[in-house]
Amino acid sequence: MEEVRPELLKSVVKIKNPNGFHMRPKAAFVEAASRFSSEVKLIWEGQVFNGKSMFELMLVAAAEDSEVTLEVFGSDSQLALQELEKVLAEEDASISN
Amino acid sequence: MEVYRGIPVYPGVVIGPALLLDTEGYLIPQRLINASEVEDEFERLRIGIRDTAIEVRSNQAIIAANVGAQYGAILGAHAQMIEDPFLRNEIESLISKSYFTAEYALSLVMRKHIKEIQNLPDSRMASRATDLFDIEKQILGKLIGKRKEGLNSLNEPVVILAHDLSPSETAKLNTKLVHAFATEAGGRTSHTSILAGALEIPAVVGLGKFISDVTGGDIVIVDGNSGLLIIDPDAETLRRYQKTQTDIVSIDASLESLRDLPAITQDGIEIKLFGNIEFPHETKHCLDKGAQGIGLYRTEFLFMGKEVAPSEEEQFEAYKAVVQAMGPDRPVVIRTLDLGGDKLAAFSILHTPEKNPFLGLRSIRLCLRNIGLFKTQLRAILRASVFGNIQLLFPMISTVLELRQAKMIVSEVKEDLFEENVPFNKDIPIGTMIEVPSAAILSELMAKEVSFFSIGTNDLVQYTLAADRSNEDVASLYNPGDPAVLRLIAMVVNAAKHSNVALNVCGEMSGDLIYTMLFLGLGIRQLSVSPHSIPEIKQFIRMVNIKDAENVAKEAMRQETARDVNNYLREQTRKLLPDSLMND
Repeated sequence: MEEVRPELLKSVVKIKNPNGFHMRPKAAFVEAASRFSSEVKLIWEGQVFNGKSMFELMLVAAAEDSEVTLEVFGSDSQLALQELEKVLAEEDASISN
Repeated sequence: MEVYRGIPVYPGVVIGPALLLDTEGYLIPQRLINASEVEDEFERLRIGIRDTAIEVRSNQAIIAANVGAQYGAILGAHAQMIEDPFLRNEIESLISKSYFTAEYALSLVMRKHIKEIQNLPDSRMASRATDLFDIEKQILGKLIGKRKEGLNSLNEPVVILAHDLSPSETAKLNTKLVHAFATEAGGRTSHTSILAGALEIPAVVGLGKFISDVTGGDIVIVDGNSGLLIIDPDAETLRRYQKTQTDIVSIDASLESLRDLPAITQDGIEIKLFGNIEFPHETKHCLDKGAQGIGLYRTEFLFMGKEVAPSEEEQFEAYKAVVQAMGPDRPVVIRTLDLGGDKLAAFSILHTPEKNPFLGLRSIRLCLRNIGLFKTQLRAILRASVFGNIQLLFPMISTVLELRQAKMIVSEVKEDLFEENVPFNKDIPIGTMIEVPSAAILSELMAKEVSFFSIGTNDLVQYTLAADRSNEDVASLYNPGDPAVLRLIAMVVNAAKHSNVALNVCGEMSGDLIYTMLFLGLGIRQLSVSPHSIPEIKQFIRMVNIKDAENVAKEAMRQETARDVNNYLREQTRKLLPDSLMND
């Protein structure tokens, strides 16, 4: 069996939603993060939040144009990071409220 | 000592320690569990969280389908918080480390998160605390709903204090230990108040804010005669109320002696006194107080708080129990479902919010739209009718056509039962409530359709004056003594007399002594009241002379304002009645 080595991946994402990183994108984010076995962290203003906990993300008040850092660590980190970046971009695209 | 004034809904005086239900209506047990119970608490928590999430997700689907996915997504986010494994870990560690109950641990953890969110500098994010309160309440509802702890595990008599009690919470109170209750919210005609009457415990509602001034265990006095709540009474007040308690016992004893005497006036006219009930077990109260029948059996309680409408069998058993308890000679008037769609859990999901629920699809209107539901109830009533003297009453009829439609459905149900060889009383008397002004105005025509009328004074007052009593800005317009209400009642009395239709008066007004002479003077010979009011009204009727009552009624009808009517009637009533028994 091919061995996948855990890898720590980082990415800085800019929030484009005029409402900031609000409830709905957070919910979508947590849902996506929970599908992967990798650890997902979201760093905002120097504080680290667990990306799989809606409660922790509730404390992230990232406004439009602010930046958050994603840190993904685990065997499926590559896939997870791609997916999470996609989710954030999509949520920004489907701005409604 | 603090004294609060509210609306008395059931008389009597109780002195006892306060038990506080928190503002959400949940009593969060702060007791500790045993080490051996930790796993059980985990399991309760797991199931509570799972069930809440299932419910929220199904609401999400409904909202997404009806309103739009983006709105449903809000609930999706709620579900994610509810299912957040980190939340559960946090709560579980509190349970296992501190031996808290699941409810208390949940509440502590949620309050911590709520604080954190409220402290966020971004005000929009901070306002999300509301979502967390909502989530907490929902999970608590599941946890506590499964094991009504606190209220069921009481072991000493208490007085319940709450912001508000739902009708189902009130109904579940164990009156052996809950000796009285007082609430910040509520009005005299709310269902909670009606239930307080049914439970026969002193109660005061509509007291305004007082919860923050009281701590569990404080000694409080609920004075259901004057509508007072006294927190932490001083020695003098306490002594005075202890004396009142003994006095009440002796007055009750003197009324008790009237039980088997007829409600007959000085000049020999017999008045029928019936009881209003909500639950089958109240038949006992009615019989204890000497009721000659059930003038109004409200069937709403069978439907409230149920996920699905009660089955025909379940209803049949309830109706049969009532009619059998009352025996073959005492009539039992069963009123068909009188609720708005918003009050029926079984419909609430499909129910479109109405701008004006009191002018909307409720009561008979709802039944005529949900024929299946209506027929099930009618079948149950008709089947029970062979066990005694059952009469059928339609609520909220506003047009002749509506009444005819309702009767037609009764005929259909009768045909079905006949074909199925199911026994029923084919001559079951059918009556209509007169509680919408249009029905009172058309009472002459309505009389051709039915064998009896029942004037529902609460709704008649509300609809005649277009005033909601629970809205304090207009509550003063809601006055049973208003000349407009009196004129409508007089019209109905005349129509009933001309058409030889029986007439009953129910609602709060019928139990208020100041209107008794007016009713007798107008020609009303049957009143249906809360069972506890029967002895008092009977005692009064036995003092009245019909000739005098007729003069009182004539004079009352000449008054031009509600205030004049009430002042005049109060004065006339006082002439006959010892002051000690008058409630203002």
